[in-house]
Amino acid sequence: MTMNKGSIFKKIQKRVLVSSVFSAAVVSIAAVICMLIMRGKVIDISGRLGSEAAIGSETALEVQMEESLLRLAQNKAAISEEKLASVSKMIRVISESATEVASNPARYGRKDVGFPDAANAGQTVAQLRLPEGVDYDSAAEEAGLLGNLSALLVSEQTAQDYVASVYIGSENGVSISADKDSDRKTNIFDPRRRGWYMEGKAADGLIWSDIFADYSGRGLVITCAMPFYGGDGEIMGVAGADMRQDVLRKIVVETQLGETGRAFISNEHGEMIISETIRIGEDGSVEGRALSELLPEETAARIIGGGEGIERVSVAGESFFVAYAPMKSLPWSLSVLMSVEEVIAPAISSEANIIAMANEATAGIDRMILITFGIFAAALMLILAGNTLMAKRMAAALAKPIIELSGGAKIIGAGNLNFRPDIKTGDELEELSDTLNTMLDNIHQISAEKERIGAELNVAANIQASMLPCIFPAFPNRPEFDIYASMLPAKEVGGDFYDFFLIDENKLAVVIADVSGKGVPAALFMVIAKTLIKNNAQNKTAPDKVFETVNNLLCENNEAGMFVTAFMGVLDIKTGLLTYVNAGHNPPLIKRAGGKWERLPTKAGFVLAGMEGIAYRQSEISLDPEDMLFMYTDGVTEAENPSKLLFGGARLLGTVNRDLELPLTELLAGIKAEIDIFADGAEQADDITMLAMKYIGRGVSAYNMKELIVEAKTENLDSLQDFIAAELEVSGCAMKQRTQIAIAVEEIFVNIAHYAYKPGTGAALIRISAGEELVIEFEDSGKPYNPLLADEPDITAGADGREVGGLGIFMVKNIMDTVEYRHEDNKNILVIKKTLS
Amino acid sequence: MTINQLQKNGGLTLVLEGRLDTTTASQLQGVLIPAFEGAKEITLDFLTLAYVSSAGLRVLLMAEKTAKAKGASMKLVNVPPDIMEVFDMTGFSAILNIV
Repeated sequence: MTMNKGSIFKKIQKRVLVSSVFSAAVVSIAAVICMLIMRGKVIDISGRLGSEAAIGSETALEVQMEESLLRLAQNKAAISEEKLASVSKMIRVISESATEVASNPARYGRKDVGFPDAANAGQTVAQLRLPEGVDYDSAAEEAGLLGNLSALLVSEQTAQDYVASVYIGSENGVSISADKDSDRKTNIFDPRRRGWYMEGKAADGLIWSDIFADYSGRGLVITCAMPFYGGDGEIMGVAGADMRQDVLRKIVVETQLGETGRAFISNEHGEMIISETIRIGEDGSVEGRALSELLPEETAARIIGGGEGIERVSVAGESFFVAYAPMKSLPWSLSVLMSVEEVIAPAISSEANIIAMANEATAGIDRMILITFGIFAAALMLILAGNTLMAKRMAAALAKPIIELSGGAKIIGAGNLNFRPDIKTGDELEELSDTLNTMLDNIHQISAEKERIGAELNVAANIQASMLPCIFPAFPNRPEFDIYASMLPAKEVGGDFYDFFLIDENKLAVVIADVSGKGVPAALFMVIAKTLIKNNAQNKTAPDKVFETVNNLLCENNEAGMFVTAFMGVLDIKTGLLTYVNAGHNPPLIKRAGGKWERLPTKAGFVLAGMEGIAYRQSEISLDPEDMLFMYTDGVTEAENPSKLLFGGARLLGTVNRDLELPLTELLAGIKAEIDIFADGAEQADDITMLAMKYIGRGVSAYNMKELIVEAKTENLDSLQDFIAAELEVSGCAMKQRTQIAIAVEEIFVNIAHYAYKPGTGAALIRISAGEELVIEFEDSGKPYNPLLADEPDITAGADGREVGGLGIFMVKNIMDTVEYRHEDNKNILVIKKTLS
Repeated sequence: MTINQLQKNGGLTLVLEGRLDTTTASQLQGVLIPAFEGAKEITLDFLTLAYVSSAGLRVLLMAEKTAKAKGASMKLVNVPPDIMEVFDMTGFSAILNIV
């Protein structure tokens, strides 16, 4: 029977708690409902209050705003009029002064005025200008007389910043202007052709011109002009002043009109004179002036008629107030336009204020509700805590030892095997506790033992791994070959190993092996096998003999019946000749330079330590530079996936042949990666051991060899000998060696000459490279013939029994370090090598 | 190769100079083998001989066999070390009478 932990007092607690929680909950819910109703009321009332207040204040504001807008229009009209009046007053003064001077030429001296000079730009100067065709001399008299007005003109222009220029023009075309724009004009100008002159003359009194684009390019201007007279009362000329519309607008109209408000001045024709909408069009005409474009027609008519008032109008779909007032001395009106929205903005904001206050009140009520919740929650917690305590006390006496025992079991279960529950109740519980403790003592002993064995096995595995050479590059000073190996142990200690070492400076041994079984016995056996193979190989005996000896030694004390599969190869680093022997191991893979990986043919031998007295047969293969050898254990081919399928030799070949250019390290890593993908998470059951070796050689190749092609006839022997001698001469080798080599060359060449093409004749190709090592290749396309297979002569027979056949090749073998024969592309190729000294 | 023949109280001495190889072996053979018809004791002086290949060995073996058949004798004198090495290597030093 299973039981919830601590269920005894939980049951007591539960009953007490359920009833108290229920009553507390009923009270809380009722209180919260009351508060929610109250909250709804508050929101409703404050909302209504807010919008009513807003509507009220909006109306009040509108009335107030209408009044103040009208007042604004009236004030602006008065201010504008005043500014304009000061201009007309100035023109009257100038006109009167000019009349005085023109009427009394004898009373005044002559004051010369210069033509415009760009150097004066920016400062107010009086400048004389004459119409085309009028020369200075003929006009000098009048110019000098009017020149008396220069100072007045200059001072009036300087007095007001909205007055761009002040000037006079005479009936004879003489004109004097005071302005800052000396650089904008030429000497030639005829005032009589200008609008202000003609209008002023026609009116015979003060006129205000319409707005026009200034002659000197200063933008839009308005001119105030008035004629002046001679002694007989006839018009002698006109005085005028230009006001820049943009400056006037800034001063007169655009002051403190809020964000959307703007003001403008319009004339009796319903055209705006001063307004931000006015601009110079592309063709130079003045645009954006019609009042009717801006305002409804009736409103425009009332303004044109000199009316005064405030109206609400719609401009471009938006509501505006427009207030307008006429000027008294001019037939112009000033209007103020302002967005209704802006006018009533304060009212809207007061509505928002009231709503915000109502929201604050609501938030306050919400807070209250939350606090009430909090209080109820705290009360509930208190009730729970009190009852828990009570229940605990009630159940303690009965439940305590049981809980203690259960807690102890939990601690032990979590891994603390040293914990011992201590129950002293004097009843069945104490008995149970004692039994548990005895059981624990036993478990503790067993697991400590297991731990010790595990630790020792780890040490064993580490020692085993450290016995394998694992520093790469292993032979940094030997460029003739490259080697790389790895052993990835399975979880359990295994018996795989690889080894490589130099037997002497010219011989490299490579070994891979797999001891049967697993665990400590296999590991120990592996150590013995590895040591024996290395020791025997270092005696320089042939690989087959090494395996024979090692096999016998391993058989001697092999009660456990263990055995080792092993492969060993010995590479002659100079010649590339690999001599190898196989004792029941997976045949390695070989890759010839430029070729694909394939199985290395081996003569199968029985496993080592299997049976005493076994003879092993070795094989030989000549490695060329760039040839590679790959050795591995069955951990590679027998790696399993979760469906118990094996990785297999075919998959291994497919993997290594996928990229033939990989460096050795990546070759091994790539295979391991492929195995991991294949295993798909299945646990590695066996050690995965791999060794790859690449023969690089001494760099002797057909490229740096010299060649001679001769007809294979004994008559050509001398020229061949000369060719060889010349190369040996260069190498500087000893005379004795030269003689020996000459013998070897002769024997081989004569052999080819006599037999290769019999009864005909053919070519022989001889290549030589005489570096540190002499390499000579003989190539013919004659009958396939391997001279190395000929019977060796009996060199101990007496003269009667002696034969000379076979003596030549026997001498060659004796003289040279290596002699190799191969038949390739229908050619006999014999390569002889010898270290020169 | 040049061969100088010297007659000395019934014995014949052949002084060989140059190389005894495939091309010159027949030359020696043509002189040496018929010489056993007359001479009972033939001496080959190798002092100025530089080189012997298997073709030369063949002639020497043939001469040795001829000498035995004719009851004559042949000896080699002044054999240079390089040629001696060839004789040692091939076991000819055991067959020939080298002085």
